[in-house]
Amino acid sequence: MDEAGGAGSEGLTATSRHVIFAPLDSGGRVDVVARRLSEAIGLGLLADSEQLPSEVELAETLNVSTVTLREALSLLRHRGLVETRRGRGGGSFVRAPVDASVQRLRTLLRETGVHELREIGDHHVAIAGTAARLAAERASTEHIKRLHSLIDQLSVADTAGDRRRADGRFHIEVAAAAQSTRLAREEIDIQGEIGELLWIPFGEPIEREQSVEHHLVILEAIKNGDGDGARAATEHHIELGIRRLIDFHLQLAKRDA
Amino acid sequence: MAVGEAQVTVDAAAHVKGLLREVFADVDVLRDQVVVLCERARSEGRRPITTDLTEIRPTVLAHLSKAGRRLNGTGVITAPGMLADEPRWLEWWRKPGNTTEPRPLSVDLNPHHVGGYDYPAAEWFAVPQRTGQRVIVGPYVDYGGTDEYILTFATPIFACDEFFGVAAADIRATDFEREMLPILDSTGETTLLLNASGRVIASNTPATIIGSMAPPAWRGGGRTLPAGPEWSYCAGLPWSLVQA
Repeated sequence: MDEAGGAGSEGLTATSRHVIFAPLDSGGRVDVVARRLSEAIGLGLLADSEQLPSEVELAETLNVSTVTLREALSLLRHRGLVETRRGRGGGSFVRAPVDASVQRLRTLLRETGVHELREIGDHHVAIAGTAARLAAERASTEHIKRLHSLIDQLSVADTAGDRRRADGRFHIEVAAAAQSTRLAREEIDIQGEIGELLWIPFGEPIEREQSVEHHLVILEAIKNGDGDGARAATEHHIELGIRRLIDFHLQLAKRDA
Repeated sequence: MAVGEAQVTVDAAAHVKGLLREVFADVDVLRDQVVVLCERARSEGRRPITTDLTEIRPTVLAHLSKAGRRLNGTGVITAPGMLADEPRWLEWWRKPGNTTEPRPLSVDLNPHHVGGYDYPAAEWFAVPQRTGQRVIVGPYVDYGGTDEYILTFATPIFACDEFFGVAAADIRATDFEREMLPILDSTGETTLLLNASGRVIASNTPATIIGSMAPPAWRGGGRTLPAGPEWSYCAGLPWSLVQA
């Protein structure tokens, strides 16, 4: 039963333990558990080769069944983020992504203050929300086609760089569909500022599949000429991303406190 | 005195036709020069390089200076992999904001950058490449490139039996509209010029301005411009003149 157990979690500080292993109120879904742990690894809250608490202990603190937890761990093993060693001294160990850019991005997110993140979010909402509203009036069928193909690109983008590009391009193309050189320019600048943080490997504030869904809702509203709907969907998408980045920032700050 | 609908169509058609002839005549000169330098490089057993392309520069600058305010930029854009020393390249000069002094267009050509100039995907590049035809595109936002709201007139360059790139010219949408307005105004009626997708290229009413999509009822209801079979091989046409 407890083959993946071990000495426990001495490696973790009390605060990061508190954040990462706080009980999940949304119930015991496998993907929710996997996401929580994957983010913590992606953000470096759980360090490389750090040992996770025993399955029983972890399931209990997260308020999920051990079956759910095991499935989540197996997902993470599959993604190469966790390694399970058997026998004496065994247990589940963190395998941090080796991508060199990850450390830089964590530092960037750690050093970008909450107020600054909010400022970027407010600016982005103003630009992208307006662009989406105007695009609903002014997009041609060619624009709709290009936006569709950018969503397709995002849905199959495997690297952080490809995801970032397909996501950023979508918003830039919306501004171009709005026939505005100024909004397009602003959108390019904002993407340059925030794009990397939105696609930290394994620490994406909005996962690829959810981003694809959001983009499809935005595009549908643009296609239907529903300017208010396009704006609202865009604002929701951007605000969620920023809220989650702020959450990540606070977690990183807590760890270093 | 106001002119009738038939007359304004004739005037607009004549103006558009004259403009297209003039612009494409210059663009064709650039294309022919590039064909010559490509074939010369090939006869020397090599691929052309960026410095070969600089040979067209005096002609590019002459075209810009001759056209005055009308032309915002002109030059040649190469298909990826055509030059020996750069994967993607533009020999392109422009007058930013229509200043008098032409400058080379400097853009981020890295296709992996989010703000990079992804020109192979642009309609003015992809359509000539796919169809072998000339194309007129716009008005559109040339993001990552000139960052202006423009019309682009492009022709494919086939050299040594392959697609080498396009020769093209840009006109700022606002400059083109300025040229068209006296003709549109001559009827005393609300008159709009629409592109093939129904987008307004020029209009004398604040209700439906340049860049907006014309109401569906107006699309396809106008008189097509420019008349004449010689433009049937140009993608992006016909434009149409609508009186509301």
